[in-house]
Amino acid sequence: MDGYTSNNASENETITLKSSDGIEFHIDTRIANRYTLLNNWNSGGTYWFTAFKKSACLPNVTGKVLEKVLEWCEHHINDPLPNYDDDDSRRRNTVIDDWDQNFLNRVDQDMLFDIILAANYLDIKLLLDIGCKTVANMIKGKSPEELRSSFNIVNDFTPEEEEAIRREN
Amino acid sequence: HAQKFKMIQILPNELQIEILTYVVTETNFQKFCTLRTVCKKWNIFIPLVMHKAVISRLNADLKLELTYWNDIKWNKKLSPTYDDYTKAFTFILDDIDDDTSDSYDDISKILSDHNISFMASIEKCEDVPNPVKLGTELGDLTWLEFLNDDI
Repeated sequence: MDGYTSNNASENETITLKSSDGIEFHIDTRIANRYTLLNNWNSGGTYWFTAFKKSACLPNVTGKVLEKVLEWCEHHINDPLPNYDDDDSRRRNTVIDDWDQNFLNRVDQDMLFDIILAANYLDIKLLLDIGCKTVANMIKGKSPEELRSSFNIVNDFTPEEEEAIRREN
Repeated sequence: HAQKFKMIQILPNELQIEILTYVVTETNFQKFCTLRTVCKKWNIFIPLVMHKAVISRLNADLKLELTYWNDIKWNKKLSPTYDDYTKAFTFILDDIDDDTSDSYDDISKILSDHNISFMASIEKCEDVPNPVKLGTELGDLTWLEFLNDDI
């Protein structure tokens, strides 16, 4: 089954990514070259890569999620690569580029977490960053009760334990 | 009650900590601390993230400022050291300007019973007979309030 073909893929060399549910995505090698893990696959660095077929199977990412991840990669294909040495500079704020914000605002919470997990698995740091920033923005300003409700977090404290922490604070 | 969304807990611990690290950069520390009551996991994560954030802010050109009713009495850029065992930040003031002693005189005038949520100590203050402990609003890391609680 074919899920996605990168816009410029016909003009450039492509590799094929296969999602956990068997959907194949033909992507421009320039996308793979930008990201460490995909690049490793492309250059035959891991066992997922089959040297004759230029394809990689992603057992942890479904087609639906991979499609969104590749949509993001495609949009950012010409962006300059950030310097990840300066880790703190990435954490100075939670500002998100308009396109990225719009991109993540269009997905529901389940998909947002899945995109974050996929970006983490595929080592796409910038997408991981904006995913984490988006969740951080959802957390900011909310009370513990509101957070439990928004994120379906189970309150596993006894009332006494919760009260003790409140007193500590 | 059907579960509408996946829980944030599907994210591995390191990603939850990463997210909280973004939250703390734009949240008052006191408010951030209240997130400890969200769940047992966050009760562990929040102090870890706080600790990292405090150290990071202290290492980033922290300015120590003596302020009283919005009137800045004195300020100086300092790089404190932090002792995890005693939970104390130490600011070495060994090149105090001549007019600083007046500022320390001001401290005695603005003593009050403020609640202290964060402590720091000044050592080696040649112009001050006794080092003083500082109280602060932890959220802003500005040094607004002082006590005469000598070390």
